[in-house]
Amino acid sequence: MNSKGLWNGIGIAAPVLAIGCAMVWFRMNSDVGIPDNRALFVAVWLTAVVLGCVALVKAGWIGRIAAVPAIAIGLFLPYTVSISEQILPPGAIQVGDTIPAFSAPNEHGEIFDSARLRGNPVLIKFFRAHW
Amino acid sequence: MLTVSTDHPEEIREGRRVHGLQAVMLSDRTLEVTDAFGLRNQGDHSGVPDDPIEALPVPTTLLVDDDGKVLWMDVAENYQRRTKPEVVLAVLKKHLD
Repeated sequence: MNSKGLWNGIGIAAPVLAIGCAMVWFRMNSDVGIPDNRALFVAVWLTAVVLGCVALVKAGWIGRIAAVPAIAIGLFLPYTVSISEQILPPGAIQVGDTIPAFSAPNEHGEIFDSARLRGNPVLIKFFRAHW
Repeated sequence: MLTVSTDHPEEIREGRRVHGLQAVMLSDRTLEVTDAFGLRNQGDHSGVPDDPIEALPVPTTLLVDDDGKVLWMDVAENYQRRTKPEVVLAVLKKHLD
C-alpha cells in the first residue's frame, strides 16, 4: 500500500471508530448501562479525532472527507460528557426528610395534589425531559 | 410511581403513548416542584434545544414511605447516568417487602 493509501485508510478508520463507539454508547444508554467512569469512551472518541486530523493533513480526498464526521462526532460526544455534571443546591432533600407538599399539572392539565400520595409508598422520579 | 419533568403536558402525553408508561406524570414547567425538593441543577444547563426553560432538575429517584418520609434516594452526579432498574427493584424489595 502506498503512503496515500495508508492515510486514506486512517481517514476511513477514524469515523468507523467514532461511529462504532457512539453506537455502543447509545446502546448502553438505552439499556440504562452507561458506566460511571466514561473515560474509555472519551479516549476512543479523541483517538478518532486525532486520526481524523492526521488524515485531513496527509490523506487524499477520500480520507479527508471520511475524517470530517470522525472529528465532529469525536469532539461533540466528549463535550456532552464534559458538561453533564449535575450540582445540587444547598438544602436539597435528603434521606430521612419528609417530602414537601406540592401540586402540578398532569398531561391533561389536571392538577395533581401530593396529598393523594399519603397512605401509600411512592417512587418519585425527577428527570430532565423527554429526549 | 410518579414522575416530574419540565416536559410540556403534550410531550408527556406523547411519551406515555410511545413508551406505554403507567406512572402519574407531572409537568413542572415553573420548576416549583423541583425547587420544593431542592433539586434544581446548579451546573451547566444544556437542556432541550429551542426550549427556553431556565433550568432542569438533577435526575433523582426517591423512595418515599406512606408517611411521606424519604427512605432512599439516588442522585445522578451526571445526567448521562441513569438509576439502574435492578438497583431500584432491589431497593423496593428491601424496603417494602
